Amino acid sequence: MAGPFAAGDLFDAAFLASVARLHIVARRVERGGRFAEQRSKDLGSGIEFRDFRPYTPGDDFRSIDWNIYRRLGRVFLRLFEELEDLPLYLAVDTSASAFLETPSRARAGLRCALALAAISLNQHDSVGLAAFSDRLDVIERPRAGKGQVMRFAERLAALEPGGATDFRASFSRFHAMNLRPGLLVVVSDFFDPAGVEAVTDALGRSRHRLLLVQLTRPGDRDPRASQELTGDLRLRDCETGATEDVSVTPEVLARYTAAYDAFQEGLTSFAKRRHAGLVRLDVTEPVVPQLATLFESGSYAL
Amino acid sequence: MTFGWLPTAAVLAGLAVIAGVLYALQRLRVRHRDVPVVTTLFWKAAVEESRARVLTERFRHPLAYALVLLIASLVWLGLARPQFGGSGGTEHVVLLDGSAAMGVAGRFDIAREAVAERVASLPGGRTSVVFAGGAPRTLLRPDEDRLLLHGRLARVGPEACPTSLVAAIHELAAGASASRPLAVHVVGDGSLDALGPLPTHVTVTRTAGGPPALAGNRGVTALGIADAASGAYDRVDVLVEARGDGVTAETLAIDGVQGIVAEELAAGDDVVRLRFVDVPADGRTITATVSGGGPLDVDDRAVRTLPRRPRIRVRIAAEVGRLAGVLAADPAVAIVEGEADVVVGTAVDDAPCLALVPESDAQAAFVIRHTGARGGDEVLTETFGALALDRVDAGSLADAAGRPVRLDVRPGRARGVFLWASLATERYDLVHSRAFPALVGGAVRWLAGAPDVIPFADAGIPLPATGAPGRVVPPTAGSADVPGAGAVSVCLSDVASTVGWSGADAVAADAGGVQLGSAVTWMVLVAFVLLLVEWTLYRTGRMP
Repeated sequence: MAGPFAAGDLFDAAFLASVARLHIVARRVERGGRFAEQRSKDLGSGIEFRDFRPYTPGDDFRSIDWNIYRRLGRVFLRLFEELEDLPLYLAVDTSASAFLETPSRARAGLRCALALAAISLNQHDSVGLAAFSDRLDVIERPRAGKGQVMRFAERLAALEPGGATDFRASFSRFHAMNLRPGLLVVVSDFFDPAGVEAVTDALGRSRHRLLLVQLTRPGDRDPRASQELTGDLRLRDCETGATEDVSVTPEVLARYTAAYDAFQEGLTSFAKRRHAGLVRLDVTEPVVPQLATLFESGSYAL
Repeated sequence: MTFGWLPTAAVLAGLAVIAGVLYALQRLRVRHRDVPVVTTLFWKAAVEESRARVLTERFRHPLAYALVLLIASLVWLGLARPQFGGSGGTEHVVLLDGSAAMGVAGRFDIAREAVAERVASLPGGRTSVVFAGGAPRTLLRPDEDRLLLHGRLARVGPEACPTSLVAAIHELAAGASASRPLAVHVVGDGSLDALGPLPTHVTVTRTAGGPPALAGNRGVTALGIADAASGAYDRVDVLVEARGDGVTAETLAIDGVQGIVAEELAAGDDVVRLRFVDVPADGRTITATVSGGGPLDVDDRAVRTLPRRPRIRVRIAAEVGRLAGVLAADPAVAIVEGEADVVVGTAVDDAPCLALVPESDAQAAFVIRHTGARGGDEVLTETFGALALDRVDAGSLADAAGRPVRLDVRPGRARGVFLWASLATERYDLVHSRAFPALVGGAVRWLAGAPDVIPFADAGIPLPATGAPGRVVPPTAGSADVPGAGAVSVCLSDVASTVGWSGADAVAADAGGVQLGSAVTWMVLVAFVLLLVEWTLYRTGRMP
């Protein structure tokens, strides 16, 4: 079934070219360009020297350090760090609010998800894809390989608007899947009607590393940016249908901004506590340049 | 400021009601615009904190409210018809002169406009308009709508009467008091020289008018009749006077006195006065006409109809004692044998009679028989003077009679006077008193129904006593029906109407008032302009 976006429009040639450039930028980054890097505790046949140990029958001859034998007359093995791949789990917000505005947050979110998926796939990491709103649906089980990019593009373009946002319900299901530890990237505006506590509570139980990609608009903090939000309004939540009668005054706007800042502070504090990454993307600006700064800075935490 | 339609308190109450209703509508009128949003999470937090103050915050558009209130108030005040000028509780009367002289040179039309203008400048609810014509009448009461005045003014005009301003002012002043002061605004030409002092709470000013434009006018200023000085009962003397610019005996023509030489009593100084003696009182009409009368026409001619007063035919039917001599000497009486107007001596039921009855047969010394058209008291009042009964020494009669002397009145088919026969004899001194011939002559005249000579009948002047009950004041020149005298010709005969007046006015000129009719117009105009402004603001989205 087709979603609201056509794959060709959502992931047009210009976007794909920018993703390719992002891939190059990602490779230049130190330590192999993996943004999902994890040091393994295992000592294996990687390329990073870690330690020596005495040879025992059955060990791999290729690992003998012949320099030590010539000098000491004893046979020792060189041990190297085993680098494991880090699965990338993309959880994309497809609640109704993501598709409301123009340009929609879903558009930027899907593009961001594809960009991150393309980078991981090019680095031979496996990528899984899920969509969530009032529940979480697995769209694609973790797969690896460069050839999966277009498959992911098609899956992402086919995503349809869901219901209301419910982090607790969605991620309780995700956590119950007992997936291999990896990096959970949540692409969302995080506007759960139950508040930031519901978000942090749902994600705090995750055993994965977290990268939060918050989809924002300039008017999120200051409604005055929107010509519509003036005067006497009946605001209708596009997800729940709940209404709120508001007479927009400077005092009300100030309280709104304070409530929004408190929400954002809650999200930021959570990210710091969990050592999670937090990226805020402006959906009215091109997505890839904003992601590029993430890699160029060497860190994805804000 | 007062209001012509409602009391001030009602107008203010109306303004308060309008303000309250508009305020309630404004507060209830909040129209929410439906806007879908991605989340109401933050709006809910913002609004919940302010929900306790929503009632005061809901009133959002004070300027819009003020504009609508201003428009509604202007319309309301315009409907209430504000009035400026006037002081305190002073009652205002605009007195319009309706005398004959106002008909000259369109002065009454000018006066109409002056009345309308003055009324418009006076406070509503305390202003009335009175027309001082032949009979003063109110054209507009204080509680009436002023829109009625225009039509009512159109239906009145100058009347053939002298000015009645002074009498009207005195009548109005009688109803004023210190707590209800009166301001009279005179519009017209009538002289106020005879006004005299007025109470301090009554002020009189002249709003418009002044000495009438009567230059070159002349007219008949008197036409009177009197019993002939010669004593002839069936004759009268006639007096005619004319005044005015260039009046002479040649300019005065008298019809009805042909063959009678006029006696010139006065001539020159713009006055002519003529007397005609022994004019037969045969019911003829005397007409006095002035040629070249000038701008005022109504005084150019005066008409009087002389009474028809032939000698009274009296038939003496029985021995009447001393009555016979009195009757023979009475110039009004003609003793006849046949048909008579009055029978004397015996009682006649169906004809006027002066009867002598035995004293022993009548309880009352004097009995008046009337035809029953009027009450006994009226007849008694009428005949007491006519029969000179007031001159009769009833006391001495009673003494002589040895019993009370009574006067009775009773109805009958014809008039009659019944006397004790002994009253006409030497038994009583009545026959020697001056009252006796007056009694007999008066009785004969009353029995005959002889008409009184009304000396003059001038408009606005009470008719001399005619024997009719009440005071008769003919309002205008023309014909007046006088009870007991029938139709009487009424003349204008007013010197002031003919020659006018000049010199300083007896009252001050009116200072005038604020032209306020335009205030209502301006209010409505401004309200209309503000409505256009509000519409424009609403259409351009600058007003909710």
